[in-house]
Amino acid sequence: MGDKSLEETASAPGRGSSKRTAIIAVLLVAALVAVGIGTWFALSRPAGTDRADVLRLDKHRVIVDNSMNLYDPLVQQFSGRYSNAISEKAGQPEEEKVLSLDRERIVRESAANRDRLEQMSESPALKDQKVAESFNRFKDQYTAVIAYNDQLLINTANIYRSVGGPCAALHSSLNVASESYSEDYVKSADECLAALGTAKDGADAETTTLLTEVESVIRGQRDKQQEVLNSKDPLERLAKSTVAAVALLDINEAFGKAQATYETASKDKYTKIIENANSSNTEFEGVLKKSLEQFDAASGEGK
Amino acid sequence: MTIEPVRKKRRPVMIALTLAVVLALIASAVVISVSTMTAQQRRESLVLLKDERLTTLDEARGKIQPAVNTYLAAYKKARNAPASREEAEKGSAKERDEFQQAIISARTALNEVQTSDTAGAEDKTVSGAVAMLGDSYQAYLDSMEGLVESYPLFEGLFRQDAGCSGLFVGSKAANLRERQTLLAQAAVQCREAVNQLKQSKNVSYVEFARTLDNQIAQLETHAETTAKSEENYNEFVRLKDEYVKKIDDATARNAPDAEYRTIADELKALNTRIKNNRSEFDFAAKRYVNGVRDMPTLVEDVFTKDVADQIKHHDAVIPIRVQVLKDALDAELAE
Repeated sequence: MGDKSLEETASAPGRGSSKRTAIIAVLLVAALVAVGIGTWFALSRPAGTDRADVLRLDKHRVIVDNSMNLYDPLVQQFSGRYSNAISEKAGQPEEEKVLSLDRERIVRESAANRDRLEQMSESPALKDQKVAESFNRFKDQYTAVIAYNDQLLINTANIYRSVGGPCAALHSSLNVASESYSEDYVKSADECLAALGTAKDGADAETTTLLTEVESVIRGQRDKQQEVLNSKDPLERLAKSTVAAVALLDINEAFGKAQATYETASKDKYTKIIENANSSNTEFEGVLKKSLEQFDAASGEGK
Repeated sequence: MTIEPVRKKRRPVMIALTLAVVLALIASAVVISVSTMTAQQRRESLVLLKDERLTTLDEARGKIQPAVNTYLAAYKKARNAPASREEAEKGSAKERDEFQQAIISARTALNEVQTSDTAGAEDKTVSGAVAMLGDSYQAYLDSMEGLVESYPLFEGLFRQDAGCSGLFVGSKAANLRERQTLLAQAAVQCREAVNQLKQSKNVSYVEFARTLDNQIAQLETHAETTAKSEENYNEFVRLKDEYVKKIDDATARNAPDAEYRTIADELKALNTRIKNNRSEFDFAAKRYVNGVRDMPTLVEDVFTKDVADQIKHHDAVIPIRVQVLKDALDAELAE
């Protein structure tokens, strides 16, 4: 028994070693294949996505461009609701509600747009110099559109809060023929002027000009009514109040002029921003299209 | 004898090595297939979202507006039969039900979109686009639901049930004080309905209710001013008669000039009061008349302007939101 087992075991190494070599070889090959497949699997994706990166970047370009169309209806809704809340004196909680709902929706919109641009700037497709340059212009122009709309939100709120608020009452709810008109006017005008003063906080150049013009018109009227109040002599009082009343006739013209200037200036500004954005978009689209064509041509040669 | 220990040592090593390699092979195969499968699944789920769920969502939205219009028309027809608010609500129950069904389908479709498996998306674009679409879509459904829910209340404002038609006092009052009293009575009842309307889920109703409330307050103020002016006027007539008597009396007595001058000064003061009273009356009366005159327009504008604008707003926003999501999905699916 012991002999046999010894013989068997003794002979085992010889046959075993060749078997073992074969197994090791098979295992090695298998391991190599596994490593190879793994490496291919790991590397093939990033390597093969160059074209997909360009495609993706192009889709993101379309998304950003399309999202700009949302500002118009969203800002309109906000200004409509805010102006109603102000002019109907809905009260602080209601104003806050409009601000937190409708204004915040636009704030979120802008944040999402900025995120999209940021994400685009991390695209691997930007390794291509031309694509990167074109993207940077696109990003700058669209950032300007977003910034314009953010500013518009501030301007709209500020204008409604002042011109649409305490100032609106000045020329609609006071009785010109009333005895206390001058007194009422000066009181309301002071509230209006205070509101106009704070409304300039954070306003852009065009809006500040508008508010300043409205301010100077109201201040002029206010001072004339104050003169009426200051005059002791009844005859002088009558004369002053006639001058003040006649001056009121010009007020609509002055407001109309200020408003027209404002509308023209902000429209021009926006038109220019939109034009720039559109041209940068067209250019970027062209560059990406060319890049895609190059990929297609390269893969065509490969086949 | 010398080989045996070696052999005994090698065999476990061999087994361990084989096991390790086989395990590694299996593991890598599993990793590859699992990640391919999940990638495949994710793709399928994204394609499903893009091609089917968004289409269903769009179709569900398309059914809302007709359902709203059908209901509003049915309710109005029932109410004009004529019928009470309860009867009209019963008479339009079928259309109301159909609208509710359309809303439920739309909410289900939205829920399907929101719960789509977009996990693993490399960026926030898809999930962000889903969230923003959800926000806008939800706002649309809420506003339409509010439009339907509060319609009987809105529609009945100037009927018997809310009594706002009592604001149009017309020729029912014999004098301005009576007009003011009748108006104040109507305002109490009307305001109750108006305040209820302020709670509506539809902003157009809420804004209208706010404006109407202010208009009523203005009417009340002006009615009070005109009533007071009328009373003042009667007082002035009495005072005038008194002064005529005073002057006659002074003339009879051959009174000194000083007394005449005092009377003249008092008359001048009275004249000023009459003038101011007149100006206050004119101011208030003009505004009162305008307020009553403009009220029907205010009511009409709710549907012709505000609701129409609102629907236009949603019609502009939602398709863009859908398109943005589709493009975001395309970006995810790009390869």
